[in-house]
Amino acid sequence: MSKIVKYLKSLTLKEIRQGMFLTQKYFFKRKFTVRYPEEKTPKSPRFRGLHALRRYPNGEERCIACKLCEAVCPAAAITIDSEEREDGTRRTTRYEIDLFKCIYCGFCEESCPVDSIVETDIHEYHMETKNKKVITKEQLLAIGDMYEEQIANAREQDKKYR
Amino acid sequence: MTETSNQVPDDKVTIEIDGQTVLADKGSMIIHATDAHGINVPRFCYHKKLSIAANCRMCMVDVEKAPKPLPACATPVAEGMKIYTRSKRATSGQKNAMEFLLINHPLDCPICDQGGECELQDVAMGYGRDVSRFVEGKRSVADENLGSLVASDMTRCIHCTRCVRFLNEIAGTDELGGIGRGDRTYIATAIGQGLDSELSGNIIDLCPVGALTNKPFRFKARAWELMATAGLSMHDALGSNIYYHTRHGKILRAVPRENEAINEAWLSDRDRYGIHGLNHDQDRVTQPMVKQNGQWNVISWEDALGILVNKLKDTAPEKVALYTGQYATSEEYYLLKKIFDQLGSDQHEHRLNTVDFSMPYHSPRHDVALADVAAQENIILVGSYARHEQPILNHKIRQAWLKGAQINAFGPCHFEQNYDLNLDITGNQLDWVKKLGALGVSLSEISGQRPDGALGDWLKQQSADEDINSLAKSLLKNNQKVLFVVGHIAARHPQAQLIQALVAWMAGVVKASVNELLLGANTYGAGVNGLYNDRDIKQNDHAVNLIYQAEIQDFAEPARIKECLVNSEMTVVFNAFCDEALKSRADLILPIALLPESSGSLINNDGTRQTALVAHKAPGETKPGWRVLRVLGNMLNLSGFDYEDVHEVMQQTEQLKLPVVKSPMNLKEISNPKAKGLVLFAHQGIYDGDALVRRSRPLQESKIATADNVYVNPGDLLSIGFAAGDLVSVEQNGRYAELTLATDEAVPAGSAVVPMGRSATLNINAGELSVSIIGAQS
Repeated sequence: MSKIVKYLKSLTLKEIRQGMFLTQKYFFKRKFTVRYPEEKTPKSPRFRGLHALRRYPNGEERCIACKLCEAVCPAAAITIDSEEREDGTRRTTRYEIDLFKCIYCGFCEESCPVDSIVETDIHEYHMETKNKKVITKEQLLAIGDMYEEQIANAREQDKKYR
Repeated sequence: MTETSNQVPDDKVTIEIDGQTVLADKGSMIIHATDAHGINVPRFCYHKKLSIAANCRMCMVDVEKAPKPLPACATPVAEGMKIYTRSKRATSGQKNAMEFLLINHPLDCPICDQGGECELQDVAMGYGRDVSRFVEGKRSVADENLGSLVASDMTRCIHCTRCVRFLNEIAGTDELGGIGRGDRTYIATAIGQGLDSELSGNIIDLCPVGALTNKPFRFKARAWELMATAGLSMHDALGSNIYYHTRHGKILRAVPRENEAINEAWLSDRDRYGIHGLNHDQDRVTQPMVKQNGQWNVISWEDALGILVNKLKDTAPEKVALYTGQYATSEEYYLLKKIFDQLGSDQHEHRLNTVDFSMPYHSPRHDVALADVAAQENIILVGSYARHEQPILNHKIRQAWLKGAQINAFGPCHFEQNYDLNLDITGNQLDWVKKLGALGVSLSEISGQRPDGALGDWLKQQSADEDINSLAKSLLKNNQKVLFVVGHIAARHPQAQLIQALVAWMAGVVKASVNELLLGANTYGAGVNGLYNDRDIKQNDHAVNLIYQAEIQDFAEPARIKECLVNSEMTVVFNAFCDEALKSRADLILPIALLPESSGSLINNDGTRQTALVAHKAPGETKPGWRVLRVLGNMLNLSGFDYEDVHEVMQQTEQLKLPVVKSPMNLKEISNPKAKGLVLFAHQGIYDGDALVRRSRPLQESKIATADNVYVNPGDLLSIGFAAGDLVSVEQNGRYAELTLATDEAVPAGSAVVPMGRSATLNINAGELSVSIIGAQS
């Protein structure tokens, strides 16, 4: 009996017609594919992308070399050396993040007492040689300077949940 | 414990802590009992080595029948006392104390060096509130400069007064105190001159918060990043136990490793900050170098050792001399001795800072162990500034003094001590020894005993006065523990052997003990391995001079050794550092790792053998000494140099027997130096003793570091013809040292105190006593 039903189904192309019907249904529906990179999806202010070091409005770097981010980092991606700067303040002489080690968990940002290290919503970046995977303090500060407005906005939006 | 009250010893009481019945010493405090039984009571001001202050109020515990919580550190135990450390009343007392302590404490943990190792941080985690109820402004306190060693952030201070009590009770300098009352109290020095205690670094360890921190270490690393490696002090013969804190293979700081028999919980500043000399780039040698046509060229280890081996093979063994410093490891000494024995030469010497060789070598006397010094009743310092020579020993002497011991001193200068001296007998370098002889005369007259031989003849020429007679009488009192401490000044003295023999004889008469303070961290080890010669080998002409872990500054007769080096065919330096003075006279430099960079064993002043581990990565091509000597032995085709690691050499040195120490009495002749004009006292300052401390910037910038001054008695200024502050030349047998003239009441009239172990005085031999002060030569 079942053999006969199976035979009839295949003879009348029932399954193919079912599939084609579904295709036709979506053909007339609203599209949700975006044409990346020309088009982009909206991002949460909590998106965790490339890192940046921020500055205060007066231009002073925020980082005080407390090394909490280095300690909390589960991938041991952060390396910090610190010293007493000439004016007696505690500053980093080296702040490096190994982007290949980083798992973008955001713990560094959470642990930072001065909101210095942040994860921006930048996720489009690349490096041409392997040794560029470690980004330095200068690069991190430059990223922070370049995207400060964006970073501050995202923090503002998320403020009430923090 | 289940003992019932009728079994309790007389000196104990039974108490109950958190339902657990325990025995506690009568008169002890509750916190002693809780600590002994592993029950944690939070505390800030209490420290087991300091007196009880009870001013932090953190250790509140609940005692049954007491109307309110009591501080555990200041409440004596009583029979049948029931104590609850976790009851509601106890914990609310602790939490309230915590809240008050945190009122004025700043929230700057992220930039505080104490963060991560802070007692306040730890206790606040358990007893602090989540959110402060205090909304008023916090107190802030201005900082003062405490010198180059200790950094202060006094706003963080919680007034536990541990630092104040340490400086009063242990260091004895009373430098810090609490000023003001109530919430306006602050801890400060009285006159704002910084700290000048030789033990000042310990207040960093004692401070439960970040108010006092390590200045050279400031902001360098976090506590959680550091690895601790067990090491030993290489700056004095105490063998203080140290933990080196390292990060990425570099030593960043040193902290004490508790050893009740030696350094207790303390560390002298020299041991704590000496490591900062390691990174002195200017003099550090990192590759083997050879001088060719007046030019220094870097060569490989193979070539360097090849040059040395060829030279050694071409030279008669007795023409090869070895001068070794006193802070290398026993393993290196063992291998050096093995090489020299097989080469057939006995021209080796470790007593570089000794000038009197009139008696054969004898092992140093160490009758009283360091831990027992505090139990002595009469201590006589003979040519010793123990405070700078061995700071922890001086701490024990001070403890003895606090218990009522009488301290007397014989020396070439009135030194600043942190205890009162009963008699402080001084004179120029020749006179004070005569005054020590006077004590011998007095003892001989009272006891009727007389030394024979040269010492007896010499004693006949001395005479005693009243002070000395009364000292002699007090020494002869029965059943008194008398200790003679023969210090570094005596060891470097031109009549060192006379002093040793005299002290040994006097100690025999009064049944006293003698401790001879050794000059280097492993002087004992060098002696045990036999690296000495009974005569002064600097007298002989040597074709090859080997200088092992020593600098010209380490010699008591730098001018003489400079001559020896210039006249030789080849000078080979095995050392981590080589300054210009040595470089200009050397032909081959082999970089050898210093103690924190290599492992090995040291024997301290008590004859205790201790081992240290590698803590610091040696820079460049630097190699551990034992490895270089092993290869050198093989290249010389000597037998028994097949060691594969340092532990095999250690097994050999472990078997070395410490000699049974006999008192040095066989004095054949007495060296009798003459002096005209000013009498030289070449004094090695606290931070001039070895290659590391000489290069440690924090130590050299500290208040008690030596200045390049020549000190005279103010009364002598007129006859000298210069004013204090003038740049003058100290002339000694046609050689000059440029120094600044300074006056000091502590210097006896007719004496000139010249610093030793410094680059400025490399022309001054400690053994030649006549000097004169003339106008600057340049």
